[in-house]
Amino acid sequence: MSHQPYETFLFSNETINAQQQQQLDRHLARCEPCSSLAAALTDLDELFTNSPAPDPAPGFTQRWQVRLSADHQKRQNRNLWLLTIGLFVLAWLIIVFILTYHLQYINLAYELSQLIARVSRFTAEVRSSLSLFRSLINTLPFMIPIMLVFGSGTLLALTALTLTWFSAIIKLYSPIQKRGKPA
Amino acid sequence: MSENEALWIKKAFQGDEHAFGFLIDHYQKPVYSLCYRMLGNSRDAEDAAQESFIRAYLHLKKYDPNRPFATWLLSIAAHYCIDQVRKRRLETVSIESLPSEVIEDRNIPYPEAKLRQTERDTLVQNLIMGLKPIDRAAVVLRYWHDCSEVEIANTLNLTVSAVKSRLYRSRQALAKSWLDMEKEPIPNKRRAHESPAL
Repeated sequence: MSHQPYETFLFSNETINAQQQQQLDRHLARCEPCSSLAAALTDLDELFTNSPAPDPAPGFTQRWQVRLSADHQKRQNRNLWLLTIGLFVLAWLIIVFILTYHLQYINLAYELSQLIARVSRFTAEVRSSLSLFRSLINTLPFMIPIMLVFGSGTLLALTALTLTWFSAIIKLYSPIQKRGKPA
Repeated sequence: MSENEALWIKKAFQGDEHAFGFLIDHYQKPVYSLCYRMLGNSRDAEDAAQESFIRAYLHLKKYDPNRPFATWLLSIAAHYCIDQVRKRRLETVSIESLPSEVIEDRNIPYPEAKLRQTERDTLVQNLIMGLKPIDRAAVVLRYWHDCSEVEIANTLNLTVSAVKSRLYRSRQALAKSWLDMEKEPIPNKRRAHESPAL
């Protein structure tokens, strides 16, 4: 038995005229599969109508505001990272560009020998300064404890400054919740 | 669109988070309901509804005031949920990530009515979860949001004829699933005129 156009009448949800309705009723009276489907559709309509979806838990808007600020912070951090990486890449590109631009006009062997000469001159100067410093210490033995205290104090201060700088950087890149601020 | 709503949208357009809060108060139920029917549990529905409002707030400049705000919001939520359903299919779900079973509170008034409601809800979810994500969205918008075929088409970025054919196929599939479910024996359920001892 052909189920068309009756299946179309059932499932299309289009309004059908009186004549089509009569034809459909006649078909449903003698076709068991189609009448089952029609009954199923009626049951489904009833089921869906009597099953409203639950409401969200109270405080939905407040939770949204919390989420928005966390999301904002996350995006800000991501942008900061992207900016840092971008600047780093840009700096390297500039360095590579400058090097490649200059290398074509430079006599590499001559520049290398000049660099070695400069380094050796610098090393000699450092050595002479150190020997001068050593001789000064030898001539002023009473000053050694003072200089030790002064030197270690400077070293400690430098270490503290470095640690503070590192913690500031870590805090800057960490998400807002980790910093203990209200999200 | 009411005058208040137009005013809130205008203020939210200018970056007023508080005004957008009023819009959330107003639309949280339909958006949450759509997400719930699409994803099948309250935890995912909450997450999807929140994310939909975040996306709406961030892309408010793209909203065309000539279109209804509700349609625009539901469109964002529907597309987000469709993506989530597709992602779920690709992901392997661990047992720990599954929502924990809700234990019914026996002290609530009319526990039988509540139980019947929960059973009906599970039945509805089992039925519509068998549909493809876009078909499911079309059915949810049709049955739970009383959207016309044109509104569904606008919400899901489909043509009206595509919506008609999707709804047709969905109703056919739902009716067949319903008949299959009726044929299946229900375990632990006493039939009428059956001895309680059995």
